[in-house]
Amino acid sequence: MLFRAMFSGFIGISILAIYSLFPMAIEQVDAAAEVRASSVALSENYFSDIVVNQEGNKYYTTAQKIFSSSIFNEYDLVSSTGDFITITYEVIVNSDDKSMTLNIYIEATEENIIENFKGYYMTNYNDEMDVIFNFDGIYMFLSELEDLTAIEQCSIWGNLLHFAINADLFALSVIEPAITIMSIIYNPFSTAISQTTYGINYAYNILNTQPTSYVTKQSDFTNWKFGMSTLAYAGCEVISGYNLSTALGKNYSLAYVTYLYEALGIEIGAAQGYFGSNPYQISYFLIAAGIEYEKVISYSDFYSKMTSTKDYYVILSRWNGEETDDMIHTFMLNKTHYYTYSYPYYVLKIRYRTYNMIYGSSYYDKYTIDDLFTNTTNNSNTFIVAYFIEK
Amino acid sequence: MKKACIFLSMFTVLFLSGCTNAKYQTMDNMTWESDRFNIEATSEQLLKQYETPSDEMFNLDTKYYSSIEINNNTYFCIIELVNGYFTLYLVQPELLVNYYEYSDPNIPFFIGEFSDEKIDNEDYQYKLIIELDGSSTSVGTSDGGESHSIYYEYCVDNGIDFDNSLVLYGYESN
Repeated sequence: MLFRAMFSGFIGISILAIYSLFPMAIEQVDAAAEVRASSVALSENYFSDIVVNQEGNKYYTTAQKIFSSSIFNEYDLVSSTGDFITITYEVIVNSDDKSMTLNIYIEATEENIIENFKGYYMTNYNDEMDVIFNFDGIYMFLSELEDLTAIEQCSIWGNLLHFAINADLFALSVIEPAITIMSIIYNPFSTAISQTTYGINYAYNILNTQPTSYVTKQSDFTNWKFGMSTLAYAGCEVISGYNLSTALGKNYSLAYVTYLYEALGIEIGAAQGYFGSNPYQISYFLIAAGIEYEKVISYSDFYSKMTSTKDYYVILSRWNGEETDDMIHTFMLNKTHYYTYSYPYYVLKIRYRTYNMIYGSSYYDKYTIDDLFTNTTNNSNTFIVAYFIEK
Repeated sequence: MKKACIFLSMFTVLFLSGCTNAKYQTMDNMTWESDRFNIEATSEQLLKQYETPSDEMFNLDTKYYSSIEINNNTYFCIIELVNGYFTLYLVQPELLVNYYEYSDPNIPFFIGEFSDEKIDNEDYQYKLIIELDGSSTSVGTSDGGESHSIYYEYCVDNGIDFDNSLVLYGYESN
């Protein structure tokens, strides 16, 4: 029920955005107001000043905090000669690449403490919109940074500091406000980011000639935007959802299905969307489309269903092979069973009609489960997830 | 618990970072030659064919088509090497008189799966071992009928043994 309620909300947002494709102006004003309102909730002297500005699709928030210069003394900084030092925190949210960039510098001298540290909006493992940062190979969400202890903050931020120092007290003092201001900013702008990027993509994609039947050749869709990538490059999960909706007789355009995947957060927002979709979250689309399904993550369960006499539409995600550089491919198939008479018995046969499994102008029929996997010695090694929709 | 969450998030990102969906065989600056049918293709041709939408595929400049030799005649063809599958379409299938009744632009002349090997060999650098698909795969035609690959149908109807082996050798272009 929780999910249904949540996705009803998503659908509401989706419909709203489709009918008003460019809600940016309204969002910008609201986001700025919300940042200011959030900052008021902090103790009165936490930040001495917060300013929100916008240039095009970039939202600049600068916050200033005054520190006692004593915490800088041991670092021999010119700017630490007075009693107080003002540190400026600048957070830039860019709706073009869905990024959040942090700069921290000393106001008086403009000496950088942290420069152009960039994170990307994406869904976290709790299915919430979040921002992910890369700390020299250690990936952490903003929501996780908020939960770290001071010692853990020191450890993870230390290497990013512009000064050649160990973090200790300095980082403890300076970083905590950075996380505070990013946390204030993240929420108001996340909606604006989703709706501007996705709305623009929808407006672009709907101008393309919409397919009228199944999509069987993904590489035809180089001119279709998906996140910051294209359907040709990273859209097989979207295409599987579109083909399923086509099989079920739903009158969804490919542009609309693409939009739903984006708006529901199934698209992976990191690295400008180039990572494609999260196959485990295709269920979001199915719920939004009102399609009842059974999600299977065990290969033995998958095998059992695929060899039964029950007929299904299936969305299957699996690795293309067992090598480390192999990619994921997701496609829809139509499973049907029939019998052929071979004296003296009727023999059960099962046909898997695949769409966009092999790139081509047509669909392809397969008759064994092995034929649905490639370059694999054991299908269970490459199986990821499948969704079964009863006919 | 917190450590577990951090680990989980790292795992999630690392896992998903391999998540782009199509694996197109992108070895650049390569020339491909086969052990049968004298198939010849360059990386440039394959990339152009891959990036061209289906409805424009048969209107490319001829320099972007690869070639295949059948019964001592050479024909233009389109080759895809994606996600472990090899498909080869004839650009003008109607030119193959013997295969005419099996011809359809939507039906591939060959379908197969391949595994790739990087070879430490002075003559060639890659070897794609292709197993051509015989009876297991049916292809849906534009008019709703079903077929297998053109070559397989031709072999079956004419009593010819279907040889499913095909190798593509990749040579670095100068």
